[in-house]
Amino acid sequence: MYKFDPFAIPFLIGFAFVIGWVIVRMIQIFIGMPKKDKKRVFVNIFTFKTVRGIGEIISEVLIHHRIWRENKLLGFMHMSFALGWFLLIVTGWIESSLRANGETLPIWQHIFYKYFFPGEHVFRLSDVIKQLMDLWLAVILLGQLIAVLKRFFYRRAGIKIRTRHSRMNRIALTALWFIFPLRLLAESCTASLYGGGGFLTGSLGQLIAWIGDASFITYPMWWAYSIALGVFFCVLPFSRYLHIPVEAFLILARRWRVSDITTINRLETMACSACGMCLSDCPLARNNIAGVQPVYFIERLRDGKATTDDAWKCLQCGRCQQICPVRVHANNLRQELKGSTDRVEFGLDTHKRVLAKRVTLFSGCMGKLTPRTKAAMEKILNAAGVEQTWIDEERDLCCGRPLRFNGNQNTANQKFNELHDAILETRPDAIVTTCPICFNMMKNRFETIPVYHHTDYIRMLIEAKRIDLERSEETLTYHDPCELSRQAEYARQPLKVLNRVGTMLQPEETGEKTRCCGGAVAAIGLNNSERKTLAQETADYLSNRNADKIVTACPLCKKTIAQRSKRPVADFAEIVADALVERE
Amino acid sequence: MKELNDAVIIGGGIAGLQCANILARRGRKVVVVERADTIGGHVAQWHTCYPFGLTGKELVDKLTTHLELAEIITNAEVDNIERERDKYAVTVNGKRHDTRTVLIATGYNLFDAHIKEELGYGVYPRVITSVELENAWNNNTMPFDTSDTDAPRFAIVHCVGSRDLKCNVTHCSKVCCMAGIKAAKELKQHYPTCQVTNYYMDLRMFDTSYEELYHNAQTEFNVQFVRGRISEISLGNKGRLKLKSEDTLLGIPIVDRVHGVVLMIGMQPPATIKVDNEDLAKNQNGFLLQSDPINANLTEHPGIFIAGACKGPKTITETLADAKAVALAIDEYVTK
Amino acid sequence: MKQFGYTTLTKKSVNIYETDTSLWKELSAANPEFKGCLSCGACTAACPINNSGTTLNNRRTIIELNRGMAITSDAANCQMCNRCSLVCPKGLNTRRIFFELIRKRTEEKQ
Repeated sequence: MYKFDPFAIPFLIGFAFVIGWVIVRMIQIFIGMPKKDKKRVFVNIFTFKTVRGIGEIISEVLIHHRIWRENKLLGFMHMSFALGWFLLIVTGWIESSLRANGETLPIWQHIFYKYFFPGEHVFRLSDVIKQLMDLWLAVILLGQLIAVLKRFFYRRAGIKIRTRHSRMNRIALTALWFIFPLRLLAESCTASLYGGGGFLTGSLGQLIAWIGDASFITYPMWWAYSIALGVFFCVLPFSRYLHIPVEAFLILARRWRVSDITTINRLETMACSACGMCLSDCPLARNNIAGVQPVYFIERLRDGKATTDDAWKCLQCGRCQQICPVRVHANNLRQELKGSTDRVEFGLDTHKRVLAKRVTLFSGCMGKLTPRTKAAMEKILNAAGVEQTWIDEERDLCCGRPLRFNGNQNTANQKFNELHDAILETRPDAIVTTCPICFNMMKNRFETIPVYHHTDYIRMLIEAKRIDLERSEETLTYHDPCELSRQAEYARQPLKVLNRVGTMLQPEETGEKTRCCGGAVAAIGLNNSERKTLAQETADYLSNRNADKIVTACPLCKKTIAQRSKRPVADFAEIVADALVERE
Repeated sequence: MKELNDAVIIGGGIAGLQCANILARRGRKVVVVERADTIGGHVAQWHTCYPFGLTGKELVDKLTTHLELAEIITNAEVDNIERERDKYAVTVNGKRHDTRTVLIATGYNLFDAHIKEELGYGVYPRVITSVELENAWNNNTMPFDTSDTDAPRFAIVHCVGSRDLKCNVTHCSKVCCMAGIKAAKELKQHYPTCQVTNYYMDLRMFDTSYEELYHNAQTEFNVQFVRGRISEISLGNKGRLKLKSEDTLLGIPIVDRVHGVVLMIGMQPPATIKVDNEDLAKNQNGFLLQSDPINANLTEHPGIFIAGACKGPKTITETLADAKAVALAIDEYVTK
Repeated sequence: MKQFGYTTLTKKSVNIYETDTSLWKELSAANPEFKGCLSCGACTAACPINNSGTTLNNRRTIIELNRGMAITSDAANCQMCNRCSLVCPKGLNTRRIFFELIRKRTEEKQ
């Protein structure tokens, strides 16, 4: 039953090219990995981690679960393409295999089954399968219709800012958009000549047969379909569609605990789908300040055209990472461009939680500009009977994070070691810092001593009933600092405490979706007027709920917002200190 | 029958009083509207006023010689000013006053030092504002407790809430340079063993008598002057305040430990006044704008005049002169 | 050159009419905000590095660039904490001057 037709050549070239390209790249990346990580791959490959990885591949690469969560319409669109195409291939493979009756077919006879085996075939389940094939095609076409309409009515689809794609991406997109209508036409024309086909291709085939003889157009249609596939595959490695094969590898690499930052960065660069989700919520895009969102910046990175300017204006607030369906850690990529790694883990300190007797406090360089926060902390700790030492009262110490942000890793390490030794000298049971930026740097870096952000520590004191709070009539709006809610993944708990003190009026974008105050240390390229625009936007946004006070938990957010907001801005500790009830 | 006033003066500070006094003396029918419960505005709080050495109260008294002829409404808010052909209807506390002219002499608001959190106002009791210092002298109390030392040190911080984009203020408040040196002298007089240091960005001693004040403070009162802005104030040991600045003339960082800090707070534009529900024209700093280059008191509305510090920071002398000018302008306008 | 019992050292005055201000022109064109510096010294007062005994001085660097003099600060000492910008009354992005100098130096090396 072996058949061949020259029209399959474009497809075959493209297919061979893309498979070859991906295999070569992945091998290159694997070779480039440090020994430790190679070992990890071999240790983890035959474990449950791989199964979980495949589960994640299904839910993310095919179903696009994270996009569904953000936007149902876009979720359906992406799923219809990915899952629809996948099912089309799988079902088609089953169909052709059943038809071949045990014989092995070459790949083009699977892919162009309808051309090589035209007409009605009766075998087991053939009726069901042909209808399924048409159903999948219909789903894809519906997704494509949404995609086309989205181009024109993007606001309706919940997209605030449209992505401007590169030329390569537009070629790939055009090829992709041609594939499925051409397949529909090619199969329908064939059906019009030989019969067969399901509810879609069959009916369309009958319609074509009724209109006239389609024999002269059928063969060109198959050529066109094959060419569209070939072009798409050939352009794929140089376009955003590279994410289709690479995302799966990225998911597996993460599951196998590959920790080498360069490897993950390379994979993430290729796995960015340029979907543009990062665009809508980036304050720099919203205010037209800089086009350094991952969707653009990673594209330049792939093309080797990225410069450090792509990183210097970014606030590194992490909103784009949080919303990214592929979980591309764009901040790591930016750090790499700047020549240093941030290497700050997500989440809180993982040491055993203790309500320490002796606490060493670190206000950080910004914290020294907010003495009200410090005074409030002193009051709270005194009420709780905690022995306190403020480490940087007389000395100027630095956690080194700003230097890391700005590309000087070595000096940053020196700074941190200096701080580390100074803190250890005070022999504390726990370390508390009022600055989330320092907190992220310090957590898990003190061998046996837990590090807390002051919001977390205050919450522990309250839960242990070491301090009592009194409710007031005040209304409060809490602004989540990005370093706390996104980097330390500590977003809901401060609200719980504040809810006991006053009435919370939260804006829509809160918690891990919080807006950046515009004061970020990382953005060295932003000048005063740009920062002013950003801060004003956030301050206005927070003032919208008309609360008596705006509360935050970061000295930098506090200073930045206070400069622009008409409402008073207070630190979390100040609110708690005001609500303290004296004990007998 | 509603009576027609010659002028409604919004603001019972020295500008408003000076103008009301002159107009009343000339037999004009004047209404003064004051937001607070007493007249005199900010000046009434000052202990001494440079250069003539009067207390604020004395100065205000000099401006009220003929005021029994004018109607004074205290605790009053102007709700609305509406134009009706060649006269205005001013609604004060719900009551309507018809008038030929309106003088806006709303003065200024004081900068809220809480906004500059790094200076520790409201956190450390030994950080006070220039207004609190004047109040202390008025009440015959000592502003700082110096029982623990024989040689106290004080610092006077200039430009708090002036020329500072971080507080959205670009203008210079003009009088604080002089007032800061005056405060230094007064501190020296009350605490003879003390050392006072003035931290300034620029000293703008623009008048003949001001330069003399500066010279006098340097030579006779041994006041120290450091050209450097204070970046932050923190609490050091023994309850002393630690000030950080750079001596920009030497190019080295300076740390001072003092027993008290006086913040020279600046002038902020006053609350807006609407005429026919529209804001009066303002300059980029929020102060009212004169519409005519020659006549300093005119606005774009004929019959609405402005005078005093609502046009921008002014010294007492300047304000009084400006108020006198506006009295003439109003008198001429009403006669016409 | 010994005269009247004291030694004259190397010439101390700066001939401002012949210094090379090209670097200032370049940097201030890219960051025009630097031209508005008041030289109040708040940046250096807030600088944790300046206080720990290095020659790093924001205010001085801006003036030295403006006058076309040799720069006495070692830009590599800057810890980029942004405190200088936070206290600057003119809202200058002050640490940027060091950042630009470092960038300049690395470019020259390459």
